[in-house]
Amino acid sequence: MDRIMRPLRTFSTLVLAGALVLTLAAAVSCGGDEDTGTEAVKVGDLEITDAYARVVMDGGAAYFTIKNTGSADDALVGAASDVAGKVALHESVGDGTTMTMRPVEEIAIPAGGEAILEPGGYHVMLTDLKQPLEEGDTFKVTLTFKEAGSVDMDVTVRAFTESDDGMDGTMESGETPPAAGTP
Amino acid sequence: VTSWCRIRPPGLWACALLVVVAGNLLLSACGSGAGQGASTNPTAGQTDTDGFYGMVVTTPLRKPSFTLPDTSGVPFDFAKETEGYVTLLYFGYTYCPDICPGSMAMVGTALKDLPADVTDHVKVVFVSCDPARDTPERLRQWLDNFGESFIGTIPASQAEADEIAQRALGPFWAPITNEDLGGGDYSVSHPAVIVAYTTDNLAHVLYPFGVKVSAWEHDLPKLVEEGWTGS
Repeated sequence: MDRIMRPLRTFSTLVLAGALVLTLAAAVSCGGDEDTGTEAVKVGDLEITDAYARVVMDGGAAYFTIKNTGSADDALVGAASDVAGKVALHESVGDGTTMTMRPVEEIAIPAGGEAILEPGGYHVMLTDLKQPLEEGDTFKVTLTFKEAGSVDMDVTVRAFTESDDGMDGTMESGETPPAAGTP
Repeated sequence: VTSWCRIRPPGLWACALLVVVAGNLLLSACGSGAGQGASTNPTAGQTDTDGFYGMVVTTPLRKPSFTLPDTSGVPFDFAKETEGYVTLLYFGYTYCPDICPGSMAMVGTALKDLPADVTDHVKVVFVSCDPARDTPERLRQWLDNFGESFIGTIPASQAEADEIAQRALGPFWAPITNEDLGGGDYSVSHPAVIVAYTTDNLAHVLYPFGVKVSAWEHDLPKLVEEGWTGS
């Protein structure tokens, strides 16, 4: 990290002190094994877990993890759902201070690896929701993969602050705020 | 991590910044191979952050002056109305499905949890980066999902939002632009950082995308009770 930090010090407007790295990294965590999503769905060598969505008014985004247990690469190439007028694969990109969102053709799922759709990254964007969705509601999304074909899965609407994706709303055990003056 | 540097950073600093911020905030430590610095302390001995979860800047940002109509159509004089308050300023848009609602929800949840002696001293101001689609009614309804006290303001044009963002964010600014999504739809490239002004009308601490509720619940009382007592 020191190699990365050094050039930053040449910019007088910005100091990303050690505490930033430590505390923000600590503020972001991933309890990926926490079973709070819908049941795992399998298609071919792919396993999709922890599918959930966040919704505000007539728009939202769906997130999940796809594991590829096979020996061949695959890719998510499409998503569809009856609940929305438009469904598309998107990616939020940026540096944390400026962000944008752009469509993606496919999301790679390497052999033996996984693709993670999560806030601030890849997501299935849901536009023009046909009916209001509330926390706890479940709806179907059909995913299409380049190799494994198509599969339906249930997606559950979650609160923005209820997730295990790094934006968890609760202080996790063992996580303490930084002491004043101590990086 | 280096792949993030492709994403047209506004300058070299941004590229350096995104290595660290993206590594820790965006990619997190979710098996991406990034964020490995979490277990080390590369700048031991520095005390610049004064114990804030937010990103402390050495050259604080000045609170800008601007007046925009709020969601009731009443002119909102930002500098005047926020004088004496800890003020969180954000630039976003309501058709943003991922970043904006996530950021607003974290702040809103923290403000619901914190006691009134803190929250009475905090104002949240949202500047629309998409005035073409963010009607006053729509923005009000959208903000109410996160905080009914959140103040929504709507510039006359995206260019006006951009001009205010440039003054507010200084070196952290990048142009606000529309990105074509096809079929007449578009997304907006916008600042994802929440600027936190203290009562000295300066922002010493910024909050990039990904800051959790617990971090806000730690920092907001500090910003209110201690003001800025850092470096």
